[in-house]
Amino acid sequence: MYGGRRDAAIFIFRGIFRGVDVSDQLAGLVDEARAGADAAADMEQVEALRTALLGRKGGKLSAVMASLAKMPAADRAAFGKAANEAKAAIEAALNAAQSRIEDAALAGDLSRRYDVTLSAIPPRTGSLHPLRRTLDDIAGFFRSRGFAVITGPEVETEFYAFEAMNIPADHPAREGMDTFYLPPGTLLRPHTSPVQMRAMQAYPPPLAVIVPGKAYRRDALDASHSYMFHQVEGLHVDRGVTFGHLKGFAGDLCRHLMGKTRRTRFRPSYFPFTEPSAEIDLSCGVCDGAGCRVCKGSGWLEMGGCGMVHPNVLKLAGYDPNEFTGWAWGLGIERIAMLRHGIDDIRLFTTNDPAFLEQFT
Amino acid sequence: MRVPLRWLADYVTTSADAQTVANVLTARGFVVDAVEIQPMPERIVVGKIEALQRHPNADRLLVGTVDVGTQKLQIVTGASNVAAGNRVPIALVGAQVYEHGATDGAAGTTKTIRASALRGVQSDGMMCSSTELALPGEFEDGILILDDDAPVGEEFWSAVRFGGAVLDLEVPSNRPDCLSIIGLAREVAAGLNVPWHEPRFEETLGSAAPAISVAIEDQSLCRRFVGQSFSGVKARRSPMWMTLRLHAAGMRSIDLLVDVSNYTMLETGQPLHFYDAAKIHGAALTARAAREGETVVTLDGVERMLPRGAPVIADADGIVGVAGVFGGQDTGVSESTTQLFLEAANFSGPAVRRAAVALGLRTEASARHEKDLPLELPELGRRAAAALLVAAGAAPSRVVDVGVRERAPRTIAVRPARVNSVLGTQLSSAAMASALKTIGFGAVEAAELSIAPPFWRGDVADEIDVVEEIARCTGYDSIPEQRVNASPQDVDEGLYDRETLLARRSAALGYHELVTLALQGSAAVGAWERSGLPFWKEPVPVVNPLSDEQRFLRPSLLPGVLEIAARWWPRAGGELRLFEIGHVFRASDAEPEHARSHDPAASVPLPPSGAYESDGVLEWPSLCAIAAFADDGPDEAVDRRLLQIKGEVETLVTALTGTPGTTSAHGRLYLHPGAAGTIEVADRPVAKFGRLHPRLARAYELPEHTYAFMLYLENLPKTPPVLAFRPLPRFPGTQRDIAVVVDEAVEAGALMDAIRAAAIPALEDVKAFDEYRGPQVAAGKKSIATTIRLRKSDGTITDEEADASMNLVLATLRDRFGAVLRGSAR
Repeated sequence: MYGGRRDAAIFIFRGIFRGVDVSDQLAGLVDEARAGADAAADMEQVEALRTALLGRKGGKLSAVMASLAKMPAADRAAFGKAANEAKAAIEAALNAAQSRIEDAALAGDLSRRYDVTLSAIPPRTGSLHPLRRTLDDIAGFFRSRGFAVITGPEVETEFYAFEAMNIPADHPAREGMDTFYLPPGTLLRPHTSPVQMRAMQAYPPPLAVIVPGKAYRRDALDASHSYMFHQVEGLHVDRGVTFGHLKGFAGDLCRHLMGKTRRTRFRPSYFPFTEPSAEIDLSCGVCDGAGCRVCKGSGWLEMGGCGMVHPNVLKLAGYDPNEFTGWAWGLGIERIAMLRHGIDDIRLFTTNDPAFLEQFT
Repeated sequence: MRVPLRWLADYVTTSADAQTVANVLTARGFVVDAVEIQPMPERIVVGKIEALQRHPNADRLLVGTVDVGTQKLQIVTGASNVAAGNRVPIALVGAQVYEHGATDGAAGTTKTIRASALRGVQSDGMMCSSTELALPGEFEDGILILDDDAPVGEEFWSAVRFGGAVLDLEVPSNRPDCLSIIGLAREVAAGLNVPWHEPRFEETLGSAAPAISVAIEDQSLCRRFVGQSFSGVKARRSPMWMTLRLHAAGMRSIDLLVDVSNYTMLETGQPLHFYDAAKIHGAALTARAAREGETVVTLDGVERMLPRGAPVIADADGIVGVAGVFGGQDTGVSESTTQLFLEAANFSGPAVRRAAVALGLRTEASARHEKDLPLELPELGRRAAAALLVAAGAAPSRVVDVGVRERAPRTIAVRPARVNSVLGTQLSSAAMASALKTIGFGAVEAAELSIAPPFWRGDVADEIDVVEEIARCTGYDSIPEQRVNASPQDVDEGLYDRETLLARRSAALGYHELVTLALQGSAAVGAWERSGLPFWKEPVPVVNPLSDEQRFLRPSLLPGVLEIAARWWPRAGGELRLFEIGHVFRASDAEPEHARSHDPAASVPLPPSGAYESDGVLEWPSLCAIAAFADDGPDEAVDRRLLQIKGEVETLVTALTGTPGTTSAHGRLYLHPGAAGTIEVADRPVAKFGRLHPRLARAYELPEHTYAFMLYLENLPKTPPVLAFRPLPRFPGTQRDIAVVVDEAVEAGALMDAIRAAAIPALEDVKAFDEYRGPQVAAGKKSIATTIRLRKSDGTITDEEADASMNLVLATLRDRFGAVLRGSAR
């Protein structure tokens, strides 16, 4: 104990000057401090003791120190030293008590057990719509491969919606589009493809863009149809772009979105604005191609239409179809989100039920 | 199209199973949605009822003696539609047939036929109904009566030439040749690499002249008309094999004449029309355009007004049919018909399509004609039908054939290098040629390929069409996946970036993103009507809405967001934040003030602002947010929630402009008139915010403390500014709070502007954080509390310097606003 050494100091000091009663008083204060500190049960008692012994006004040490003035000058230095040592001893005792009490309190605190399995208090965070999250993922995929993301108008002219897409007046495909018409001569775009033409008119080749946006068709609302839906159009025009590249991008995107084990299938289809045209099918994630209820027994799920941009479309855009080739596709973002998350009703995207949106925060 | 495999087998010989055939068709562009397997119970044979007697012990039962070829069986039946001499399907002992009443045979339960005594009379088999054999389509009740010439004793399925699977597949609209069994058989044969049997319908020309003469008046509507008359026809029941095939293909069997016409169309792809020759006035038909006001009663008994110029067939008395769409009632075949006149014609696709749309009539015939059928096809259709009619005992006439008989031969030059450069393949020109030959194309190899498409492939006109055919025939699967990154390009991605940034920031502020339907109608207008506030004037109407909720394009995102907010609020737990980003639309004569700033140049394909104008419709991107709080009513001079919302708007504005902008009071119809503001940056409005108008809050059952803000996206920069670093403060500053009493009309913003403008030494920041009106200030006055932060860049500010600055602040406010330090005498 440090205390032992200080006791020795006081003993020496007792022998070398005559103020024996003063040094006894100092020793008494130290003893009182030690006894009080050991007995103190809480910090209030420690502080009371500190005030009683060390207080500037009315403290017992101050009272003893007051006698310093009456002391012969020769003794003052020794006495002062002894008084300081006594003060240090008192403070040490009080601090030790403080540590003891604080340690005890900490030990008590540390021994408490909280039930971490109680339900969390949720933060008030906002959320992005699942369609945006899906789109963000698709956009990230394409941007990393040098594509730009652009958007265009939803109200279109017949020219951009049809003529520019190689669908002349009287073409049966116009009817298949089930278009909403607006007065006069405008319409709600039935697909995002018109932005292909706008983009090619706005920028010289080579061009690699994706175009997310809303499209509209006169479909009655049911679990798999909404009159308003979201597409992401892809367009890549450059020298030497081939159908093989289209397959590469589509396959990579499907694997990126749906998992590396999924397979894609390209089968011939018909769109006036692409040739050769194809439908992209994705192997069913539930049955892996064996056929089940989800894929209606076919083993495959339709992802969207695509193809090589028709030379007529390139020509109309002012691109030389002999120099440049390109692919284009239109994927349904709802469709992708539904397949990815197992959502079984397209209406959920526009109903905005909190119970639905909160699942994607 | 529904394709019975057994029918397909008439033209392609293969042992491939249904799934293999389905895979081949799918891989060639005819996606098979379903493979329906026709169950084929075994031990069913054709039996002839030689005698039929009443059951001795049961009035309702009959006892038949049935010849099944190898033996004669005694069979008891409860059916009432059989007679001696009928040939019927007999389930022999041990056969498993389907329970009666099962509507879907394949799904029904089966029963096993046993030899047993029925009320004392031995029965060694069963006469079957169509449902017991799970046959497709509807037949008359009771036992299935087979054709009179059905071979007795023959296995049933072989006798009716039916069974196996039915494929339900989609034919793309550019392939009318495959709206036929023959066309699909060609594709299957090519896909399986087996020969296909060219259709060879026997020539069936009679020597008599056709009963009807034919003329084409308008060659642009009708390009060819092949006709033939048949006498001695009778509208009787069709042979069982034809009935079953039609049923499996999804058509009802009516009678022989109607069935032959439908069967031929399904088989060859050529729609036909049969007239009752006796009912054609003047014994002559003319293909022409409808004249103004002409009408016809079509086969369904409906009188229809024809649009002028529609393609029609007329006789001396008027119109007898809408060409390629629907026949007329008066001249159609019926049970009394004895002489029919067959029409196999070629009409203009667009003309047929327009007529079908105008009349609201889409028929199997018009669906084929509108795709522009080949000129060569009518003769094939005529021959196929004639063969069936003659087989049924009709006597043919000679053929009348007017118009153009074939398309001029054509060849398409195809560059093999081009094919490979489009597809990413390394096919030799020989491989290309042989691929094309499998589907009937002629191919001559030279420096280029010279390709001659067959007559049925009118859709193949250009080199690129041939490229697709080569890809289809070699298989899309065989084209290898390739990888490449896009070349560098300079494309403005700002619109998407701006939207993404704002969406993410809004979500970070606690807002949930919505996507609402962009067409609106009664619900939105109704809510506004309930509130008594005016809805937006003249939103852009939809010409052909499907419902009352699709009457117009949304003029604002607010109604959609409010509708969702109203639905969320009861479950929101006292606080709700929602937002949506999307396009809004107005007629351009109702152009809103802020949108005038955008570039209206319609010729710009992608205007950089993201605001568009197209033939009188304005469209621009917008962000709308709603925040609702379940607080007690506002009783203080300061609406703290309003300031909170303002702070959120400023955060979004700052994210794109680098500055929170300048706010001024600005009323909006749908906002509380005393709690609405506009934020401007560089003198352009970029946002509006405020407390929702209490009437609107009530109409949507939202709380009083509902707030809204909107961003004018087209006036905001598309990318955030690059932020310039400001050196960190090196010396401590100080902060002084003062409250000044001013006239009630003085805005805190003006106060702060004055302080900022006054060149106060060491002024770092000023914020007006509170306002008080009440007994402690004089009437007509209010107190505004501000925090003023002072800091010097070259040393610690002293109390004396701070006092001097504050005195200058007070002097400024006194001079400008007559402001008095609150609590002081002056």
